[in-house]
Order: sequence, then C-alpha cells, then structure tokens
Amino acid sequence: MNCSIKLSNAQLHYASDAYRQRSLKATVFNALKRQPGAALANVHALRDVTLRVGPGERVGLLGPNGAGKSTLLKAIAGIYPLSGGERSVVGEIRALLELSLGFESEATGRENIMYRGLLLGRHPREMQAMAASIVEFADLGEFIDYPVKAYSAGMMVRLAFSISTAVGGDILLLDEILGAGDLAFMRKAKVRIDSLVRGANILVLATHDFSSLRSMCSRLLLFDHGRIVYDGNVEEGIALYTSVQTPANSPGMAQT
Amino acid sequence: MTAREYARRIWSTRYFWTHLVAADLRAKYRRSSLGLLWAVIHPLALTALLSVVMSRVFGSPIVEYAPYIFSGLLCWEFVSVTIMTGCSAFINSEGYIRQFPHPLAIYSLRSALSALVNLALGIVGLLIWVAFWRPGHLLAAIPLLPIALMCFFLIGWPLATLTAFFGTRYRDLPQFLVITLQAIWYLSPVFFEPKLFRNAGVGFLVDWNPVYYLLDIIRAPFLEGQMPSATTWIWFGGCLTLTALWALWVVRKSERSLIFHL
Repeated sequence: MNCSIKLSNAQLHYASDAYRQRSLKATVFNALKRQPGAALANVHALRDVTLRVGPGERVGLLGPNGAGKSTLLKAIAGIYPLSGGERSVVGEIRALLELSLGFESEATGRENIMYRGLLLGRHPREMQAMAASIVEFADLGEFIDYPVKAYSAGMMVRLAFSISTAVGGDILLLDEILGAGDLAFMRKAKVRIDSLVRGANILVLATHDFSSLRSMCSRLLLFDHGRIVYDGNVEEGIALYTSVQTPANSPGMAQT
Repeated sequence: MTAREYARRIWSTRYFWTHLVAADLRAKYRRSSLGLLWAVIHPLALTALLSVVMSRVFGSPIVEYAPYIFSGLLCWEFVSVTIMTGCSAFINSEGYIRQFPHPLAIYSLRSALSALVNLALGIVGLLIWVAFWRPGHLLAAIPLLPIALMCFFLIGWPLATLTAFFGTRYRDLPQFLVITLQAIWYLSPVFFEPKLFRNAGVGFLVDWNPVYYLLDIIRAPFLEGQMPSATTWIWFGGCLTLTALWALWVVRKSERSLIFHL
C-alpha cells in the first residue's frame, strides 16, 4: 500500500476562548455588563507547515518544548483541526499519543484490553484472540483483574502500550512514549517499538532522545515557534539543534 | 464532512460504543447482588410510597394511579438522566477524544443508550402490572412498545448531544439544568393527573407541554389501552425535528473545535 502524509500550508490555532469563559454564569454576566473578558491571543501552534512524507520514510521531530511537535502529530492523526491549509493522509494511522488516557476506570485491566482494541477499530473476536498475548506482554500479574483505577501511572502506560502496539496500522505516530515504565519493561518496549517501526510503512517520531532519533529515523524535521526550520539529514539536524539550543533562546512558545 | 459519511463512521465504531454501554450498565450494577433488578425496584418503591399517599389525597383508585406514577417516573428518569449524563459525556470521554478522531456523537449515544436500557427494564415492570390488572391493554401496549422505545431514543440522543456540547463549553451547565429540570418536573403531569391542572385553571401546562405528549406515548397504550392521539404524534414529531436539527447544526459547527474546550 502506498501510504502518504501531505500537509500544505497547514495552520493551526488553539482557540483562545477555550481558556476564557468556561461558565454560563460568567458568560451571561459579561454579556449583561457588556464587558468582554480579558482577551487572550489565539495560540498559533503550526505556521504554514508544508510537508510530504512518502512510503518507507522514518521521520523524527525535534525542537524545544512548545515548538509544535506534538501538535503536528495530532494534526496528522486528525485529532486537532487545521485552521488553514490542507491535510491528506493515506493509510491507517496508529497514534501512540497520551497513552495513559482513555481507560474505563471502573472496569478491570482485562476488560479495558477489549475496550481499547474496539476503540482502535478492531472486532471483538479479534481482540479476544489477542487478549492473552497482551496480558502476557503487559505483565501486570494479578492486577490485570483489578479495576484500572487501582493502577499506578506506570502500570497504565504498560497496559496501554501493550494494547496499542499489538494492533496493526500503516502510519505509526509516536510521542515521547518511552518515558514511563520500569527498566525491565522499557527494554521490552524498545524491542517491540523496533519491530513496529520495521513493520510500519511510515514512522513519525517526536522525541528529545538523540540516540533513538539516530537509530530509528532517516529524516529529521526541526521545529521552532510552529515552523519547520530544518528538513533533512538526521546528524546535521541534531548538530544544528544543539548549536541553537543555548539557554538564552529557549523555550520557543508560539504566539500571535 | 457529509452527514452520510458521519453516519458511516458512527456505524463503523459500533463495537466500541456498544461495549461502552455494556460497561456503564455493569458498573452501575456491579456492587449489588440484585443487579439489574434495581432499575425496576427503585421506581417501584417510589411508586408504592407516592401512590399510597396520593391516592388518599386525591381520592383516585390506587390500581389506576400507581401505574400512572410509575410510568411518569420511568419516562422522567430517562429524560433527566439522558440530559444530565449528556452534560459530562465528552468531558468523561476526554481520554478517548484526545487519542482518536472518532465522531463525537458516539459519546452522547452512549448516554442515551444507557438510559434507554434502564427505561426498557422499567417498562417490563409496567408490562407485568398491566398484564395482571388490565390484560386488555396488552393488545395496544405490546405492539407499541418498540415504537415508544424508539421515540424515546430518537429524542434522547440529540438532547444528550446538545448538553454534551454545551456542557463542555460551560462547565456550570449541570447546576443550571438541575434547577430547570426540577421546575419542569413539577410543572408537568408526571405524577399529578392532567385533570388537577385543568381544574386549577392551568390546563396550558398540560396542553402546551412537550413532556405531557412524550409521557402520552407510553401512557396511552399502557394505561388506556389505545393508540396515542394524533395531537401527541404531531407534538412529538415537531419537538423531535427541532431538537434533531438543532443538534445536527451544533455538531456541524462545533465538532472539530470541541477538543480545544476539553
């Protein structure tokens, strides 16, 4: 299958009114007093991003916090709407973003394997067949039959990772997911990620870990203030990033 | 995105939301040995209490009055639970919404369907009552039952969708709705009979009240053994159309940007 990601002149704004009036009471009273709430500027998180990723490409995203890496991943995944420009994605996306979110906290780990699999678009029978291997990989012992609300943060990531990586997809989007979990699980996870990366048609990875960029990626995009400032070879990109990242000019939050 | 494409995406995630509804029901009844029976026991107990008192106060025969109250409670519980759980439908699904671009209407569908299962269980209780005391009514009640449930579902889904969008935008919406719903509940013939309103000269609270017509979809066949009147269908159809169009408009306008409000 010929997978591809195309963004042309993509713009993304976080609507500032989302951070302003969150109550009916305040909205009504402000309207009565004819006093608009203090105006916040819209956050311009992606500026004029044009990007083409073809089959077989392994793309790394690098940049200071708030530069737009995670926003780009979510825009590609279709979770954030573009406020301008075009997005077209061919292929089934598997996004490993904010992994510890999205559990039914009253349900057991085992039940959640089913829910998340269905959330990922799988058939119940398919998930039943996969459940045993997911339980084994997550390796949570007796906790797999406890409600998820009894889990620690690390356990949730382990379970989510085990499920999401067991289910297939063509375009793999990863966002700094290897931060949680203990050492033994991290080793296991790394092996699995490597095999996923080999199996996926396209990989887009956002991380600050240079060694995983070097080992997994063939192309690097450097982000700053919502723009792509470099697109090319991994080693050169990392060198450019380290030379620019002096304490004086970070962080790079984007605002209009 | 076209409405057709949207509907197709809702259908393609059916395994997911049906399991969520099942999870809701399991969570609700997980810690009780009586399980799903609670859906019937709670309104039954309240009915017993109210009908003993009310039938004395108003001098109505208890055999007539108890199912009147019971049906009122069931329907009202559906309406209020759908609206109130709708308020938090997106907020509680934030974890899913942040990870997957599924149609948002599946999360309000979850609220409406969970409430519908409770309504259906309660109606089984009503059906048993009718079978004992007014077996003649079964002739109208049984064929109309699926239609009535469908009607409640059709109005419940857009209602939950509306409160889901507004409840995400305005986090204090539940507090306003609790008061509003309570006011509507006392101003509607949920457990007071229409004739009380009419005798008191406030018949318009019955005749111009959508809640009355919604209740009539259940009450006409079960309590009187007849089809709901044409007036009922016109009122219901009108309210359904307005609510559904409003919900569709809100979905079209706010679906994509909702994530910023979570």
